[in-house]
Parts: sequence; structure tokens; C-alpha cells
Amino acid sequence: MSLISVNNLTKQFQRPIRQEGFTGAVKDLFHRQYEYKTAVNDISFQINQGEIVGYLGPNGAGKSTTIKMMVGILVPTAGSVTVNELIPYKNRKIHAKNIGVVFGQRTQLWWDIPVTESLLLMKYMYKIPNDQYRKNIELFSDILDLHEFKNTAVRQLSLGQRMRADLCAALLHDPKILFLDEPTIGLDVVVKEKIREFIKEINKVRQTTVVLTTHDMDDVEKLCSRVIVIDHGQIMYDGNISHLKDKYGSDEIITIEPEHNHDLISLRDKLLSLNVMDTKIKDLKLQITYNKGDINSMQILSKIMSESSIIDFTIQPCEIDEVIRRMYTENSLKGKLKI
Amino acid sequence: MKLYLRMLGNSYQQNIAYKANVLMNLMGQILGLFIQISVWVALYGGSQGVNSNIGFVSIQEMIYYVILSTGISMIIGNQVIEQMDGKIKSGIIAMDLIKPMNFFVNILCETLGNNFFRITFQLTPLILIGFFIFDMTIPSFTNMMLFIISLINSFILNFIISFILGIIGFWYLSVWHFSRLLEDVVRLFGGIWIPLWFFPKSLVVVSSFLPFQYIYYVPINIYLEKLSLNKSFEMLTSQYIWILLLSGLTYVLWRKGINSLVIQGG
Repeated sequence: MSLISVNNLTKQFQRPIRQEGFTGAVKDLFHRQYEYKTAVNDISFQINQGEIVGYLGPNGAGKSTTIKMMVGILVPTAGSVTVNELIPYKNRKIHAKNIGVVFGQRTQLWWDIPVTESLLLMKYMYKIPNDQYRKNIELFSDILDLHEFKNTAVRQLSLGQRMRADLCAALLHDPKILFLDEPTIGLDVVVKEKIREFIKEINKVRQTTVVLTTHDMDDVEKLCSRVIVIDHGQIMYDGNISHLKDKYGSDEIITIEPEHNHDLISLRDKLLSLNVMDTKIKDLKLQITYNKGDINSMQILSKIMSESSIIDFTIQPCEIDEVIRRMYTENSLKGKLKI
Repeated sequence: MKLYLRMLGNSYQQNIAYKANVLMNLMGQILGLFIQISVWVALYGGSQGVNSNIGFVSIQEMIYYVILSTGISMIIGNQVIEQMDGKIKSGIIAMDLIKPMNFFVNILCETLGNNFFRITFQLTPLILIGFFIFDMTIPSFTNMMLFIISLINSFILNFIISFILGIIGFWYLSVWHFSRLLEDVVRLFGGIWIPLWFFPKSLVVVSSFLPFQYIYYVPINIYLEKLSLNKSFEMLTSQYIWILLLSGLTYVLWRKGINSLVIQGG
């Protein structure tokens, strides 16, 4: 039995169409027209305990909507979500005790009171036993460096500090599942790294399942064992990252610096007999683009080395960034063609 | 329980952070009080009392009425509609709903915290003014007890009505203007400014079918000993019936509203 089970989930929003100008506004008052937007369209997936799943997609793809349905604050239009054998929106309060939630753009802490007071409120709210509370506070304060601002009111914290405090608050009650909606948005590199380490640690030690949405591909590469890519409310891909790379971006680039410049042209001509995609000469270096499915780097290198001597070479593997970008654009092109 | 007490305490403390606000508010209230009293004195035009539909009303009683209604507004007033309006419009309500707590009780605690604050810093000066400048008197022990009970009911009734209007925001997103409407309706039918004593028959009949007179008019009448003991009990029962009816309505609306809730923003 999977921990999170999403079956044929659909969410549709109703939006009034506003007509332009003053006369439009008057018309709207008496006869309002609506348009329907399907944010999530018939998606299904299962998530098991202990997984860290990256839930990716361009802006407006339906990521947040799905997360909101999984945490129980939005009711699906059709289909079902079960989390830990509960239907989130029907068992909101019990469900809330099983999960921890961090929305990057909002805080769940109390605005006007110091961090420690807020955390104490969390203790009462989730009925956390004393020793568990003390142990967690100690552990989290150390990893997340909460000491320096624990007596400051939340409204006076910087974004990075607030995010760390929020993460701590979300995990005090040892939730089984952690939902993170853009946890690293707007943070500097050091804080990002700290937060990633923390999430990894929690996942390893406590087997906490993590579902996170992000636009930061570093997050994905460093954290996620699996990614689900969604666009226009539909799932584009569900699986591990290396497979994603194989499927959508198996292009690699080898850059070679030969000992003698005059070898460049002849080398390039010789490579044409191999199954490579493109060759380019740039700054006295030879750039070879090839598909990993067709040929591997050793074959190319041995061919070159048999022809001439080289000083240096670099292999540039395909970045996940590039892969996702390609997926998004390919998809939007397809979308446009359909219309 | 400990949680809710703490939340109440926090809400009390948050008010202290805005001291200037408190002072200005207090001055506004007292100014309003004196204006109302002056108007009534002018209306009475030197006569000691006038006849109304509950009999003779002296100028002294009218002044007490005004002081009591100002005091009650400090004890039972709330900002529930504005609060819920803000939470729904900005989507912050999501952060309340992901916590294992009851939203209704959550708002209630915040309101109680605010009101305790107002009771300490605004009601106290008002009581001093009432007793030392206008020679107010305390009613009999029985009426005092009945007054306190009816006042608690008024608070609950007012809170529930505000909460219901707040829930409407789940469908219409913007409800702050309801707050204004409610204020005016309560002002009229609740008898905040003009007691139902001076109402024409038709308005009194309309008012008897509405819950609003039970918020201000009833406790004030009990304090001023204008109601017989039987009538007082009858009024308390009516308060309870309204509370029960509106609680049911709150529950149904909340269930329906939460299903059509749309969380705004990212």
C-alpha cells in the first residue's frame, strides 16, 4: 500500500470573465459570465514511504493545486487523493497531524510573536510530548542555526531565517510526510545548501517522505530520487532522474584541444564517419555533440587519439536544467500545434 | 485548552504593541459618548422624561442607556468579518487550515484576547466616567446576575453572526462591506443609538423576529430594570434559541463553504 495515492485527480476552477471598461463592469453586475480552467487534469501517481519526490513543472502547470489537494485545503473536482489511508479534506484535523507543510511564500508562524513562542504554540497544537519537543528543538536548532534569531519576532526575520524557522516548525511533531512548496525560493546559496542538507538528513534518519515543488534544478539533483513532471495539468514524466536524462536529453558535448592547430580541420572531417550529431570549431578547440545512445565518449576519444595527439579534453554531461527546459518547450510547441 | 489560552494571551499582547491606537480609540469612544448624551439632552428639551411604548423614560435613564450601549460595544464588539475577509483574500487561511485546530475556536480566541484587552484599557475609563460624572447606579443583585448572563449571550450571538458573514467570503471573496451593513442593521434593530422604546409599532414587530435586539437592547433593559423577572427569563431563552439556530447555520455553511474554498495566490 503506497503512502500517497492519487487517482484520476482533477481540479477545475471557475473564474468570472471581467468585461472591459465601466459599461463592462455594469454588465458584469447583472449578467456575469464564467470561464472554467482545468488546473489539474486526470493525473494519477503513487508515492511510497521514504521517497523524496520532486514535483516539477513550469509556472501555472498545476503543481501547487495538486499539493493543496494533498494537504487537504482544496477539494478535488473529480478523482481521489488518499494520504496515509485518509482522505485529506474529509479528515482535515487528523490528517494535519500526519503531515508537515512549508509554503515558501507564506509563513505558518505567528507574525507578531518571537520564534520560540511560535514553536511553543506548535507544541501545544500538535500535543508534542516534552522530551520529544526538547530533543527536536535541540537537533533542528543546531542543523538550521536557529539560535541567532530565536527571540526575534517573526515579522523581523529575513526570508532565509523565516524559512528555516518554518521548516523547524513543520517538523517538530515528527510528521510522516513533508510537503514543501518551493522551499528555496529567493534564498541565497548558503541557506539553500543548509536547507537541502536538512531535508536529506530528516529523510535518511526518520524515513520521512518528502514531496517538493521547485524551480531550482539543483534542489532536484541533490535531493530527489524521483521526479514527476507536470504541465498543463497533465503528467509528462514520472520516474528517476537518470532515466529522464536518457529519455529527453542524452546529448553530451566533448571539447578537444589538439596539440597542433592544423589538425583541427582534418580531425573534424575524420569524425564525420562516426555517428555524431554535430562538430564545431571554436577558439581553436573542437566541439563534438553526440547522442549517448548512438556512441559513447570512449569510442570518440580513441578515434581522435589514434589520429593525432591532444593536450586536453572536457566532457560536458547534460544538465537536468537543459532537459527540463527542453521538455517544457517541446510540450508547449505540441500544445500550440494542437490548436 | 492550553493552546487556546496561549493564543488568547498572544492576541492580548499583540494589542499592547499598538499603544497609540488604543489611546486614540479610547478618545474617540468617549467623544462619541458625550456627543450622544448632548443630543439626547437637547431632544428632551428640559423635560424630566417622555412617554414611550414601555412607559415613562427619564433623561437620567436615557443617559445610562447611552453609557451602557457604549460599554457593551467594548465588551462584545469584534473584527471577525474583517479578519476573515483578509485571510480569505490573501490566501493566508491556508496556513490556518493545515494546522490541527478548529478554525472557529481559533478566531474566537483571538477575539477574546482583543476584547479582554479592550475591557482593561477602554472599559475601565468608561466605568469611571459613568459612575463619577453621571452618577450611575448598580441594579439589584438578581438583575446584575441576569445582566452578566445576557451579556455573555450577546457576545456569543454577535460573534456567531459575524462569523456567518465571514464564511460568505468563501463564495464571494470580498465581504468587508457586509461588516458595514451588519453594523448599521445592528445599530437600528439592536437599539444601539435609539432604544426600541421609541420605535413605531411596526418596527418593534419587525425587530422581534430578528436576533439583533438580543445583542444590545435586552442586556441594557435588564440592567435598567425595565423588564419583569418573567420577561427577563423569556428574553434569555430567546437568546439561547437564536444562538442554537445560528450555530446550526454556521455549521452547515462552514461545511459547504470549505468545499468551495479557493486558496488565492501561489
